[in-house]
Amino acid sequence: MPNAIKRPSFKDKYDNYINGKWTAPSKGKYFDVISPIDGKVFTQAAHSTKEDIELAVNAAHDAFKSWKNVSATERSILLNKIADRIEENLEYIASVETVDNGKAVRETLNADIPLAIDHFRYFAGVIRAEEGSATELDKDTLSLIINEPLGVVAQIIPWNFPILMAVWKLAPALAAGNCVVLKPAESTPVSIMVLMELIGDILPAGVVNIINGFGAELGRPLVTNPKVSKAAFTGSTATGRLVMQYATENIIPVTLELGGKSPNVFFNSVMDEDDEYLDKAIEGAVLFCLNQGEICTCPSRLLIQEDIYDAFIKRVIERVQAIKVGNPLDPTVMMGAQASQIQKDKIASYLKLGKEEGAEVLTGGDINHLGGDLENGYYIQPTLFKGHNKMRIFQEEIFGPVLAVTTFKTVEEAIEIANDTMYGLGAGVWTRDAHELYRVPRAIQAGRVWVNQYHSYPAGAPFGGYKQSGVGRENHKMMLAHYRQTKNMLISYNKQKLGFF
Amino acid sequence: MVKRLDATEKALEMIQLLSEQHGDLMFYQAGGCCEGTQPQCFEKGGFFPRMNDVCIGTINGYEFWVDRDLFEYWQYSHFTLDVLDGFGPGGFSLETPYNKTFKIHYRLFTEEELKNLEPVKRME
Repeated sequence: MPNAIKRPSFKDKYDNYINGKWTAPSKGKYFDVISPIDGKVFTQAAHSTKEDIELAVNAAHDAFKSWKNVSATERSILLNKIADRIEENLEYIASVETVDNGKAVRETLNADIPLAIDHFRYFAGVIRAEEGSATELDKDTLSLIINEPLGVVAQIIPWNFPILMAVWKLAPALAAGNCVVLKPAESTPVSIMVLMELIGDILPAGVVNIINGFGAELGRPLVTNPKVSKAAFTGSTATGRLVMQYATENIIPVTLELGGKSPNVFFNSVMDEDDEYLDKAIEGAVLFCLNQGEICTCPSRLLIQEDIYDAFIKRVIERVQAIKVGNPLDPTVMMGAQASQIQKDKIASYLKLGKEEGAEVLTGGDINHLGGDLENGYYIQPTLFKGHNKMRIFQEEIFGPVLAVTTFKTVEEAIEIANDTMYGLGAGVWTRDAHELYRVPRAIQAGRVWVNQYHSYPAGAPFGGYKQSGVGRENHKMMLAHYRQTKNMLISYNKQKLGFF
Repeated sequence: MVKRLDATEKALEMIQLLSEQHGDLMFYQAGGCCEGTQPQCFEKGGFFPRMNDVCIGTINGYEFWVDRDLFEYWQYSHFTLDVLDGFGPGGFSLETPYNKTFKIHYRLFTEEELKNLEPVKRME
């Protein structure tokens, strides 16, 4: 592995980041952090309790008193400084993320961290051009609309893109003028702390606070704290509903991103030519392996028009079998390790289930034993199952490199299968036919339909779910509205009384 | 009558420990990202099942609820609640601070068993 990125070194343990200071957890407890690369403990993170939540929320609440008066210009400058600082340390942060999460460094170098940088720049940009509004409702009455930040927001982050998902929530919240208490996922608690080591000095103390620990102990005290004005969560349906349930206590808004079972639909015209477009389409079908399949929008259902099935799937299988799996710190490795032992076990039970349900294994189908130092890491073979849409492997989010493949005959049948899921987060449509290009994406009930591409997440394109996939649209300036109040000043310039009393 | 739900000895020990800490418990299983499709253990009454959600049985008297949409697919499987060492998927389930994660082992019912299953309770 001559070109491997150097494995970064870590502190022995990471405290919480509260009020601009590294703060030991109140009860003095820490938990082990394991790298999925080799299954070994590489550091410890704070095992916080509700007392630590209280400290962090109070710090954020105090900081808000002055942060809310910082101008959009100054906030924009600070967000740009954060982006620059991350960019200066890109390779280091990417390697930290790879050790924490297990994903290939090729992805953290070229996707996770560059997207995080751009996300800060996007929100730094949009808040400079924003305006409230003034409407003359009649000749004496003026309605002024002024956007005001909410205050302290609670953000609970998933483990699949620990830094990028944190930044998707942090950047709009800070841009809108809020203070944040953020809880990373317990299986990837460290990369965000390393990020704060690098960028913490840019922001005033208390504006961003990070508390590590377990959702079971911290979720409720965080979301129900009377000083918290909004909650944002990414993860499962049950936990999302629980966050929403907790949010009812103080009637605070929530945004949720809760998953999917995204269809990736290929019409027969993709094979009309053997050209660069077809090559792109084949890659598009193989993108279920991006991030080891641990993406809420993983294109985990592959729908192929029946008359091209044999020729198309042959090319897909060849491309899947060419995926290089290995040490995630090797920049030539295409697919890394699943994020935890438990996640690996969960995927393995779906591999077993798919076989029991009678699905045909087209390739893969097992745990991946890489031997040597990696033998105890969490690796799964990229797997294709052929079956039908009523099988459990077509309906349940496996969150691994497992693709459920089926066929359809007509456009109508493709739409019916695509929509036969409780989720509506992502979808892909591939065709050279101009009518299908518009008609099919409009008919699919999902918040994001990629057309002749998949898995791009540029800032400026709103991202969020239909159906049970959640509430809100991240990645776009409209997210600012989810982090703000609307202040309406309704002003009368009429000197006459109403005449009622 | 054939039961839909059982638990391993290890799971029962964990449930005992959690009930000493938290009192009466409940289980809920739904879908989604990350900890989706993993059984979640909460304090009894701590989570509101949806209307028409399905209780597939009890463990130590604690109800095990599943999402009504996914029950359409899960009704053909027997559930065995187990507990694994380690944590990972996330969520607010009570066992994770103990470095444990509840897990379901599935087994498809036979044709014979399907004819003689215990009735389920629906949330009304």
